[in-house]
Amino acid sequence: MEERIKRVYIPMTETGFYILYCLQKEMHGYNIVQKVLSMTANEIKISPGTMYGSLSKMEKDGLINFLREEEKRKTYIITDLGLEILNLEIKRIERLYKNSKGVNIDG
Amino acid sequence: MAKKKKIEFHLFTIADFEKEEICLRENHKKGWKFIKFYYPGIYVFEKCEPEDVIYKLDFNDEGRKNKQEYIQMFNDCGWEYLFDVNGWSYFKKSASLEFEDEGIFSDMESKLEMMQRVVKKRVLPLGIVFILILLPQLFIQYVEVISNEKADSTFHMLMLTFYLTMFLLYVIMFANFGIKFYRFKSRQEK
Repeated sequence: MEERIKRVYIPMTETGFYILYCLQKEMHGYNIVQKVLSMTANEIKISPGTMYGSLSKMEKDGLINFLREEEKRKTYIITDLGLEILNLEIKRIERLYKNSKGVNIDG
Repeated sequence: MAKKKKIEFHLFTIADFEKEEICLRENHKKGWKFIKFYYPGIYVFEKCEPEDVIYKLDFNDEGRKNKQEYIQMFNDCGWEYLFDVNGWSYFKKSASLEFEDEGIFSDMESKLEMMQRVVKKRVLPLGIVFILILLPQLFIQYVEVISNEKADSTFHMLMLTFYLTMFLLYVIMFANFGIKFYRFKSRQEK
């Protein structure tokens, strides 16, 4: 995998993570906003400037693919590269979490 | 009967978009809604009911290339699109609908990315003009002035003055942007 992609996306912003995570299923931007709201008990509300900017960037970098446009909304899905990045990030978060709870990952 | 209108003149530079957002919001609170912009800094307002309306600017070329979808995304989130000006897209939303006043960016990283797009599309090209055109011309005109004694030198003196002025303006503009961008960056990174 390109080193540049790794450098840009790992570690990921919280917003970026949720967007990429949600796009494991095909969705459009506003779907993602609603899904993340429900996943985080209304604590994380992704704003449109952030959402649009992130989706364009991820598409350009090959992390997500454009599928189709319906009623002026573009639907995206995660790519293999995106999945690779997502899994790397999840591993990193798991390690962080375990260490925060004082659990030795090799234990 | 046509609604009352007023004009304000502001020179908001590239890094002043937050000041501009505040200015537009304050005006609407006083009963003046923003309806038109004329380059380089003419803002036209129309009388309306005083209301707390949040105005936000986005800089996104991809968005303007895919306007329908871009505007729809903002509409879905409750933002109304006004128009584009010089690459910037204007949006507004009633403050009563926008809790916590986040605006169109929900994290600092994406707001910073927006400013980086501005650097790439606006500041960099100006920098190139500065280096490839302005500086050489400045040098050329200066050489012409000191090497010509006769009638020619008036023309070159004028040219030199012109380029010198442009040079100073550019330097001031870059310095201004640079300072504001740096301050903005360090504020967001806290």
